[in-house]
Amino acid sequence: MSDTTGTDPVDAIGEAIAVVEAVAGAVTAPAPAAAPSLPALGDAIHVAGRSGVVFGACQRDGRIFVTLAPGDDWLPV
Amino acid sequence: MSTITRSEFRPPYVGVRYEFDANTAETVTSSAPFQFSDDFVGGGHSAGVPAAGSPVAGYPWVKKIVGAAPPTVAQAAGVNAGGLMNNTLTATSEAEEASLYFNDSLQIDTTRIGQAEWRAQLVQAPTGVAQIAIGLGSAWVGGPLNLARYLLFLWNANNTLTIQWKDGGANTGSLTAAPAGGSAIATDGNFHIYRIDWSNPADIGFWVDGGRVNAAASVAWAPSGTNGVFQPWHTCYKASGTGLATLSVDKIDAFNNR
Repeated sequence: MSDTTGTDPVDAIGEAIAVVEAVAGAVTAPAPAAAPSLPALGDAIHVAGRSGVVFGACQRDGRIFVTLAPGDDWLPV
Repeated sequence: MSTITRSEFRPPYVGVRYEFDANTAETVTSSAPFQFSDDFVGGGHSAGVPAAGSPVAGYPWVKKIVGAAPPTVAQAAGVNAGGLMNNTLTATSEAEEASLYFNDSLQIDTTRIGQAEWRAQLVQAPTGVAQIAIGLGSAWVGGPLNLARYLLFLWNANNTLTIQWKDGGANTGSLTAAPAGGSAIATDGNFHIYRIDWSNPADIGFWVDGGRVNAAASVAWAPSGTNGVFQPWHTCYKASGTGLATLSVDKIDAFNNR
């Protein structure tokens, strides 16, 4: 005679999985960090002790640099 | 009697040797294994440029037209040898685009020694928020600076020449074009020779009429894999407003090593 009372083991596993999925879904993934924006050409800027306007702006390996005159070095912002 | 040097060779770079007109700095031939050149002559051009997404066999270009007015991309007769390909926006207040490219067939490899060059003219420098760009780009997206990757000469709502780059990885930037020790370039309405040079793929050079307009090592460029492969881009674009822009391209040639 089979036991027809109590919780079916298969159902119990399914419910446990559902609980785990619900918990996992409730965890909010952290928002990705906003990509830094490049200063616009011609904007006034003060960087590395110098004031001027942005002659060039670039991003290298996640860091922002600007240059203030033709041929000048890239200065980290 | 004087002697005018008409043609000179640039030094070979790992097997690529190319010849230029010493008077105009225009590249006239190369020995590169991959070469593309178009002077915009012949019936394929005068028959009309096919629309983006519907390229025609044997013809490399398509046009992307956005706007009801509409803007145009069409061949015109050149005053000198060869034809012209003109991209023109209208004054209608709306988002507009007139672009010419390879229907997203990316072929020009900036990781292998080479260059791309245009003889082009700002017939109407951009006004309002309009932009004009010539150069190399990845698959079409509305707006030249919205492309995933690019190397561009770009005029942004005036005639001040800028250079723009984005390698799809860690490097992106913009720079006001200027010769060494010189000032920003205000482009006039004449034809000029615009060249993007990757004879050293780690140091992209932008040149106008034979003079470099970005300092050595000023453009960091390290595309990974096929991120370094592009199609030509000629575009006039505005996101809104009544701005005008007309670009006329007389020729393009591009080559690179294998």
